[in-house]
Amino acid sequence: MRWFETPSFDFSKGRTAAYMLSGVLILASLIGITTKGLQYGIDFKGGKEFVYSFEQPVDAVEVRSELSGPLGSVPEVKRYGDPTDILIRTDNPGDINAVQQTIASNLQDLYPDNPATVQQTNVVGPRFAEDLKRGALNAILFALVVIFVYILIRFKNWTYSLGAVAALFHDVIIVLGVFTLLADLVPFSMQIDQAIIAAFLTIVGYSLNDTVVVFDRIRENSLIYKTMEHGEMVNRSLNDTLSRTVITSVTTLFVVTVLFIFGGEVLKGFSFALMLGVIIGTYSSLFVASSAVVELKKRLEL
Amino acid sequence: MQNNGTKIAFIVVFLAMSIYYLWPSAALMLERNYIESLPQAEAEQYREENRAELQDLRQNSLSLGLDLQGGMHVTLQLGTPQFLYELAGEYADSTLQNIINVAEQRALQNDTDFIDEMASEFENRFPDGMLSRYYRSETEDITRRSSNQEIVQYLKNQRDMAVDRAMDIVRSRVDRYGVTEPSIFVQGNNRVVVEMPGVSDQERVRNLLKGTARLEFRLTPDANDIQTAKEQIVSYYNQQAQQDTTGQNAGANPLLQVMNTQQVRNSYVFGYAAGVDTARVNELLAREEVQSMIPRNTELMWGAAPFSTNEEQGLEFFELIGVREQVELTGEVIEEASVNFDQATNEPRISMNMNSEGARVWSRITGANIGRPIAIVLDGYVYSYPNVDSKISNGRSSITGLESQQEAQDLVNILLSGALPAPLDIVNERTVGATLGEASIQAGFYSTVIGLFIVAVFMIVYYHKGGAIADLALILNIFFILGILAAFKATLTLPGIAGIVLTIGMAVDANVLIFDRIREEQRGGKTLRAAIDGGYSNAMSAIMDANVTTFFVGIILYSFGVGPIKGFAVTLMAGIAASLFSAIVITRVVVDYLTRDRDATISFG
Repeated sequence: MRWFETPSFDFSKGRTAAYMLSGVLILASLIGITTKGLQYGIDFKGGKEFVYSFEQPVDAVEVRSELSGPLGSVPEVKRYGDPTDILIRTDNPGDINAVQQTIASNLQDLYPDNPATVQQTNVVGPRFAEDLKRGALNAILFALVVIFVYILIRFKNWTYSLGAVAALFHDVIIVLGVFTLLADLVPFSMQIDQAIIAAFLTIVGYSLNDTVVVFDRIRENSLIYKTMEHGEMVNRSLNDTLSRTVITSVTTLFVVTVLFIFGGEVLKGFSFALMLGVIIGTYSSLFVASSAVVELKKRLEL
Repeated sequence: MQNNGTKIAFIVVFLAMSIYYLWPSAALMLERNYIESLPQAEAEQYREENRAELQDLRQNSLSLGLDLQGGMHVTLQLGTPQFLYELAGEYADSTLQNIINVAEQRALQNDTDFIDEMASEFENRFPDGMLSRYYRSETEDITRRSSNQEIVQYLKNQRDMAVDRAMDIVRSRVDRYGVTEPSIFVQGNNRVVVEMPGVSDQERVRNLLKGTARLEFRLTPDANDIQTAKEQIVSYYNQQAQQDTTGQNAGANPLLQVMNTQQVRNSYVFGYAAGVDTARVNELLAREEVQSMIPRNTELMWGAAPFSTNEEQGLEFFELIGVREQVELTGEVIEEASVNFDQATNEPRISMNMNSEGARVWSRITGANIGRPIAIVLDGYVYSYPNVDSKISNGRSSITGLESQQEAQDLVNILLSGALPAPLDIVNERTVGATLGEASIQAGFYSTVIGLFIVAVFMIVYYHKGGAIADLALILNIFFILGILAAFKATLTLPGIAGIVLTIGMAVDANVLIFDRIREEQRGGKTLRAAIDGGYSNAMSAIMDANVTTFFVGIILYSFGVGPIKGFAVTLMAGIAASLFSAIVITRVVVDYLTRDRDATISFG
């Protein structure tokens, strides 16, 4: 089987459309992020989280109203995978033994014939959350710096560094934006927690993988076709590597989708972020990273 | 071609190493399956007979994270502000308290060291001030003349020592609790992380870890003083109530609404309240005007166990007892402690033996206070306040008022492990139930198998024989990843499994690059052999650049992430290393072998 045997797409032509698409996506993401705010999960917000497993399905709305009084504030209650499992998240600052007992005894009052067992608890203090947030931010910034420097050393041209990092920003902002906008619409947790940060850095790594392969070919072709116009040469390089770009995206997308479907509730948000990331990362290495290099070169030569 | 000997040798060595490191894991899995197939009694016996061997296997096998096997992960933080306040001892004053509070806020905001912030806040307020105003130590040679830098260094040393001590104490408590293979380590400069696989009684573990175990023996004040203070406070709230004419409870004494001060057992008791109301009572008594009515040397403390219960309403009542502020003797003198039962009431009781110095002080205190009660206070709660009948010279004492034998046993463990230098707060806790862990293993296993299958089929369809070779490399790749994880004693977590699945998708990337390049070279008119050579060598720079950058991301994830993210980062890095080796070396050897004859053909689809 052969896809894109000898493709001759004109990527430079599609560039204008890509700029518009990217522009719209980024704008929508930024609007989403600024108006709705990032949906921080317990890791970055702090709080207490419990997963209870019942024998029979229960109604989350009922549980929420039952617990609102005793906990002193309205908790977040939602289904967690199976209809018999619910996740309860509260910002009650009390001692966790007491909070857990309050929840347990109220659940028992509400469903005397439907006993619940604690499957999972997660308690994050506000300071701890603050530290994690800072660590995650540092990790992402540090990753961008390292990538910038590495590409600078390997390709000896800062336009490549800038192109790659611009593409990464592009990807991260869009995935973050889509995440924020979809958070209430999907039936699983899409709040930003540690696993999502890991997913983001993996997206960064993946998108970079793609971009570097294209850059590598541009470097190679620029030695072979010395007289060719730069934009045309970039276009040729994109076509040369198109088959590989698509195949790798397809295999990665396969496994990430499998993870999304079969990986269990804990990995739902994580694998969803990766799915988005693979698609957007592939798109950005085809249209954004190299375009940025071409545009920068053009500006600099004028 | 001539290098293939070396390459094959490498492959064989890596395979052998992976088998060597994975062997215990496989053996343990077989043993577990075997044990599960046995009836209960025989299984117990088998386990007992092969204890050492099983233990050995467990220690050398790939360990599963708490999210996969169930258990508890707790991060404790040393209360540094309180520790530093107490370290100042008699020199501590409200200014120091204030500086500590400000420094605490600022350290949190700026992500700086608390002690540095404290020093700079102090120097801000007192430009020429000396921190030696608060801190002295003869043993550490910290005197009045010590410079502020010296003191900062001294404080940091003290904190490090306190964290080390806290860790030792926590370890001793966890060991006594009896968890198999707990893992305890220090994180940052004031946190202790405890991981306990298979633990399910969260409440008990929390209490075990948090308890400072400050055992104190205190005298009780004059009973008349407590009664006078009570009358004053009640009448203060009566006045308050008369002024308050709004709301539905207007005119009612807010204190008497939540507390009964009349029908008390004896004159040392201020009053009693239901468990749910104790917080409200504390709030009412904390007011400055009220505090000033309590005699200087007296403190009101809650009893540890309820003194009576109302079964119908499900309420438990606790007494508020007046004790002296001064601590006569602390738990440090306790040498031995054990649980036994009170002959008369059949309630659990902790008997304690003091060392010789403690016994001497105990003898003096009891001798001077015959006929009066002595309060036994643990972590701020009064356990009992028995009347002293006679002078006790053998250093024996006991604690009663315990709810269960288990509580008594935990308390003994805490007492024997020693007191914490400062309170430990739980700042992060994750518990995963065993069933959920099992479900996660299953989900991870299915994801891996299905992902592997889809990618393998796709590769064969797309690259024919070349794809099959890549698949072989992929399977060996997973084997190597597990081998690397086992060799480095890494822990496999659910995100780690996700990392492996992700690696499966991305691992074929190197082969995709090579095979596409071979096809390209063939299109350019090269012979098969030349195309293969060209494909491998020309794809190399792209493969290296792409993988090195991703590896960097792995390193960054590893250094900044905690817990589960570290597991993900480790598998990601192991995956990159393994997939590079299998994609470049293994497939090359196989391809070379298949094309060893001049006229051999091999299809790359």
